[in-house]
Parts: sequence; structure tokens; C-alpha cells
Amino acid sequence: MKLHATRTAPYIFLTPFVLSFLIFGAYPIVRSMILSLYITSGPEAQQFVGLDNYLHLLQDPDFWTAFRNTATFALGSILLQLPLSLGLAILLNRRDLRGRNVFRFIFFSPNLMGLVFSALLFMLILAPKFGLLNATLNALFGLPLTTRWLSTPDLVMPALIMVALWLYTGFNMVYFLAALQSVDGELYEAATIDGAGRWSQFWHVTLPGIKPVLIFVVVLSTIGSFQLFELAFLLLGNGSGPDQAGLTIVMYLYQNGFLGGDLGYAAAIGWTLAGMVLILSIVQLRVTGAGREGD
Amino acid sequence: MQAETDDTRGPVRRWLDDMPLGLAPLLIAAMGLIAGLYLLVHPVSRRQADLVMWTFGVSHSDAYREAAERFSAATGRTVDLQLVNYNAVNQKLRSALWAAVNIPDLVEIEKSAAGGFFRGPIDKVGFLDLRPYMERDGILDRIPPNALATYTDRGAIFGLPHDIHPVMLAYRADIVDPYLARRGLRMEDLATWDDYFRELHGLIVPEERYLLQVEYGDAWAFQIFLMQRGGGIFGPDGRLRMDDETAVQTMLWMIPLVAESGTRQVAASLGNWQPSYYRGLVEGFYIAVLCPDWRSSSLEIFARELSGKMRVVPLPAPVPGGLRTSQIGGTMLGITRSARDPELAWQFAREIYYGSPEKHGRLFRTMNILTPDRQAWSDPAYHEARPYWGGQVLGERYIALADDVPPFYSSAFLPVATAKLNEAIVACYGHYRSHGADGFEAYVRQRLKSAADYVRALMAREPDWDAGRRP
Repeated sequence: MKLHATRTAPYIFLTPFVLSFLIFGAYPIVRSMILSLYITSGPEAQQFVGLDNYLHLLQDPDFWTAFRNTATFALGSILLQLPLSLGLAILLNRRDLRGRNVFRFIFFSPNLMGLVFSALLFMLILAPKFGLLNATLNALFGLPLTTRWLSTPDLVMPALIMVALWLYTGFNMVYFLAALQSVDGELYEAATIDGAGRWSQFWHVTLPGIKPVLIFVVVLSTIGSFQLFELAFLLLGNGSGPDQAGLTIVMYLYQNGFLGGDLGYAAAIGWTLAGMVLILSIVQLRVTGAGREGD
Repeated sequence: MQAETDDTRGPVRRWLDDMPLGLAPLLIAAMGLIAGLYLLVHPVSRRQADLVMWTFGVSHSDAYREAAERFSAATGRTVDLQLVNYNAVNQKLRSALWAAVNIPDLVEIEKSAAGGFFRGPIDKVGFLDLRPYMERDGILDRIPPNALATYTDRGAIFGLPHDIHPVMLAYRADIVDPYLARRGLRMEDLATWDDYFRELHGLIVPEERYLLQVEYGDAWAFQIFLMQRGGGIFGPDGRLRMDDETAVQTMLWMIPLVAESGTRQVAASLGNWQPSYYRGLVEGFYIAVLCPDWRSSSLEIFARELSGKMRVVPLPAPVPGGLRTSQIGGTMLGITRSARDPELAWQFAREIYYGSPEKHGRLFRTMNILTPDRQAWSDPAYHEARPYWGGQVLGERYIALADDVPPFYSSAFLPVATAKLNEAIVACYGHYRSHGADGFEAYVRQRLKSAADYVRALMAREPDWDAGRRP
């Protein structure tokens, strides 16, 4: 009898989750996949178009603009943010650094603020003529005060990347700090005895030691970057910016689904995005060798 | 084996006792199941009130709350007024319509988003056609006809206009008037844009002072100028006209205002919505702004320092004798098709939109928002001198232009068309900055056409929802 109860108990306790998942997870996933095969205008006006939404998407210049912008943001974020985060983590991991806990808090603190507040703050900082950034650049390099960071197509993406840097560098730093603290100190002692310099130690001891976390942060940052919406939406005044320079894939989905009213096309965009993120993640995991024996 | 045979517990008891985590989780699961089943059989009605209305404007909400109380007292029917965030109301309504759950009886929507809800077969649009109600109660005659254009689709009126937004020119009288006086002129003498830029040209100081705020990173100012010239993004019956001759000429005229260099640049912008917009006016970086009624209120709030220094005049016309106003922005009130009591919903809608002139007067006094209801224009609030505007009677000035407001036609494709127009404006600005006037006209035509072609390609994908419904 005990065996019987032990066998049934997991099913009983799993049932609420499974039911919730089926209703709130699996059903919407399947439904959105079906929806992506329709042109829609409300629940009572739908026309089956097969894969036409996907075919149209591939020829839609706006989608590719959104993809280019999103990929630029992801690349900019990862290539700038992660080295900075790692550099900060290494710096703040030094035991001889006085007040390192204060610095850790300072660098992490932007993440404690909401995105809305950050967006409002940077709208003021980036403002032409009266903004802090232009005033600083003017004082240091004599650059014009009237630079329109959020209204000039070529400057929108650098501005977004800059804000994201401010927001997330400290956040990723915490992951790296945790990883650095788990690297065995004896390895550094051994490396020093073997005559390895700082760079050599970083390359041959630190990086392999934090590799799993590094891969995790890269994948997470990529996924997060491809889901970029709120920051750009708020900074650019509820729109995609001049010349669509701030249009991201999720924003394009939102525009089609919730402003244009075609949830079918929006679902197709969503599934295409999911496919892209999946492929990118697999490529990243393969390239970095994550999951191989010994990792 | 011996222990099992000695066990005198019943099988259920034994099963319960042997649960690995004890009885507590099972009890919690059982309580959840019972509660769930009970709610399934006796669902809690979330709509206790006779009418549910969503609004996104705090000032609207405050005004309607009083009206709702009066309405309830008079009819014995209750109104649940819900304030929903401006950005959330569209998504929330769309989700509600899709799921057919918690759909409000009445809802306010901003003008630019309205067209998206009029998509699909005419008899499946989520809103009721209000034309029969408006005709029956004589409301149609009380509203300037162009105020309804945005909310009219295939002959049906899906929304009541909350407001009408004539555009005027708000300018720094402390700078402009003395300058003109020295030349024996008054602002009222400058009847066209050419007059305006010519007579005030001496005030321009490159990088320091310009004659007008014109944003070229989006289509806001362009739309104002376009409609003033009789154009529009869409025409009646949803026809796209963003690349017609009027649009081309508007672009050819507007871009050089901001893209020229030196003293030939007469207009500039520091953004259209950011605090720097107001700062630019306060600091005199530009001495005039395009000013619909609602923006005059924003100026009073965010550019307080200019109290007494500002004036409004009708927009200078594009050509002699041309239109002296335009329009931008707006809100509609719709009654959803699923409203439980459409007649009651209409009565409340009529009460809050075309009821007491005092209510509209209060709204104008606090927000400078002009109702399209002519009967309300007699309220004293519209005839008061405003100190901020140097004693001008702001209400009368906007009312004088209300009947001239050009029509703004909506469409489900308006967001994408506006986005494409934004792109074209930015591209034309960039082209003019780098190439000047050389080949500019050809470029404008090509850029507007490619933008319009993109929208037309999208429109061509749209099924003919009304096929088979037409007689």
C-alpha cells in the first residue's frame, strides 16, 4: 500500500502544475501557432492564409529593419557590456580594494530602478541643448549642444546601447563576481609559481574557471537583447524612433498586433523571433562548447 | 510481512498515512479543488454595475465620476468608471474583445488608435454604429462635421468625438510684438507663412533663435501642415493619399525650413514631447510653436515662466486666403457591440459628452480642451480672459476656428502609414542636409511613393471582409 501511495503522490502533486501549464502555457503556444496561419481582425474575422504571413515577413523590409536594429543592439550590448561587467567584477573581487562592497552596490544599483524611471532619467540626460550629456561633450570636446540623440537615426542605437550599459553592466557583474569567487585560489598560486603573468592567469585560469557562467550570461544577454521592447518604446516616446531606427522585433510585433490589429501576423513575428533565439542559442552553445564533458 | 498483516488501518487511512509529504499538501490541493469547483458553479460576477466604462484620461475620469453619480441618482442605474492607463487601454480592449470577457460597455480611445478597431467586416466591428442614436437625438447638427471624419468608417459612426482640436500659432509676444511694432506691423498682419518668415527673419540668430518649432523626427508637424493644405494621410473611404501632390508640395515646403543652414534655416526643434520642447520656448530658442487647444494647457503648466508673455493667433495660411488652422490629436467614446444595455450606454455617453455645458466649461478651464458640442460653447469658461495669454480670450479664439478644422480620416493602417511617413520625413531631411535643393523634388516624390507603396502592399493583403455582405 505504501508503494501504491508513493507512486500516486507525485502525480497528484504534479496535477495542478500540469493543468495550469496546459491551460496557460501549452494552449496559448499551440493557439498562437495556429493563429500565425491567419490574417485576423478580431475573433470573428479571420482568414486562413497558410504560410503567407511567414512568406510576407521574409519580404517585409520593416521586419528586416527590426531584425538589424535588434541584432545591432544585441551585439553592442554583448561586446561592450560583458567585457565591462567582467572587468568590473575582477576589479571588485580584489581583496585589497577598500570599500569594494560600496562599489559593488553602486554599480549594481541602476538595476534596482525600474525601466520607466531609467527611461525618463535618460530622456533628460540625452535632451538636446539642455541635457547633461551634450553639456559634458560640449565642455570636453566642443561638440554641439543641439545633438538630438533620440531624434537622429544614426544616434538612436548608440543611445539605447548606452542606457542598457548603465542598466545591466552591474547586474551581469554580480554573476561574474559569484563565478570568480568559486575559482580555486590554489590554481592562481600554482600559476604564479609556474611564472604565469596576470594576463596568462586570466586566460588560462580565470576564463576556464568562469566559463559556464560566462556562457550562461552570453546566452541570457542575447535572449534579453532580442526581447528588447520597453526601454526603446519609452525612450522613443512610445514609437520606433526616427526612420524606424529604434524599431525592434518585439516592437514590430506589438505594432502589428496591438496597433494594427492583425494578431495573426503578430503571432508569425513572435514565432519567427522564437526560432531565431533558439537557433542563436544553439549556435552559441555549440561554439562555446557548453555541455561537453568536463564543462 | 508480519507488520503488514498486523496493520489494522483501513486502506484509505493507510494510503493517506503513507503520503510522502504528509497530509498537509493533500489538504491544500483538496481545498484548491473544492474552491475551484465552487467558483466554476457559482462564478463571481465582476460586473456589478449596470454600465462599465474605461477611460484613460485622469481629467476625464474626474469629470465623469461626478456625472456618473448624477446619472445614477437620476436613473437608479450604476456606472463603474475605470481609469485605465493610456498605453494599456488599447491592448486591454483588444484582449477583451478577443476573449469576449470583461468587455466594457463604453470605452474612450485615442484618435490614432481608433482605426485599428474598425477593421474587419462592418457588422463584426467591436463598436456600435452610433449614427442612428445621434440622428434621433439631434446630436449630429451640434457637431462640426469634420469632427466625425476620424470615427466614421464605411458610413458608420463608431465613436463620439470628445473634443475638437483646432491648431493655432502660440508665440512669444514679448519678443515678437515689439519687433513687429518697430516695423509698423502686428502679428495679425502676417496672413501667410511666407509673410511670417519674411517679416520676422531679422530675429533669427543661427544656433540661438529660430522662428518656429518644427519637429522633423516624426510626422506630427508635417501632418498639421499637410491638413492645412487640404491633404491627409488617408482620404475618405480609406484611400491612401500620403504620396499625392499635396503631400509632395508640403514636404518640399517644410523640409527646407529646418534643413537649410545659417540664417536660411528658419525653424528648429528640440524634440516634440520631451521637457526640452518647453525649455526651448522658455529660453527663446524658438519663438513660436504649433499649438492645438490641449497643447496650450501643457504650455501653461510646463512653461509657467512665460505667463503673460504668450499669445495665440490663427496659423498663417499656406497661400493667401488659405486655411488658417489645422488639427491634431483627439479622443473618441465608443459603445461596444456587447454592451448589455446599449440605450442606457447611449444615455450616459450623451450625458458626459453632450450634457451640461458647465462640465465642458470646467474641462476647458482646467485643460483647455474644446468640446465639439456647439451648445456648450456658450458656457462662461470659453469667454474668460486668460492671464497666461496676456488677457486673450482663449476659448473664443479656438471656437472661431472649430468649423474650419480639416477632416482627419482614420484607417487600420494609420500606424504603419504614419511610421512610413516618419521615415520619409527623416530621409528627406537627411537628403536636403547633404545635397541641398539639387534633385530634392525628385527625391521627395520617390521617397513618398516608396513609403506609400509599402502601405499599399500591406493593404492589398487585407481580405475583402465585407465581400458577400454588400447588396
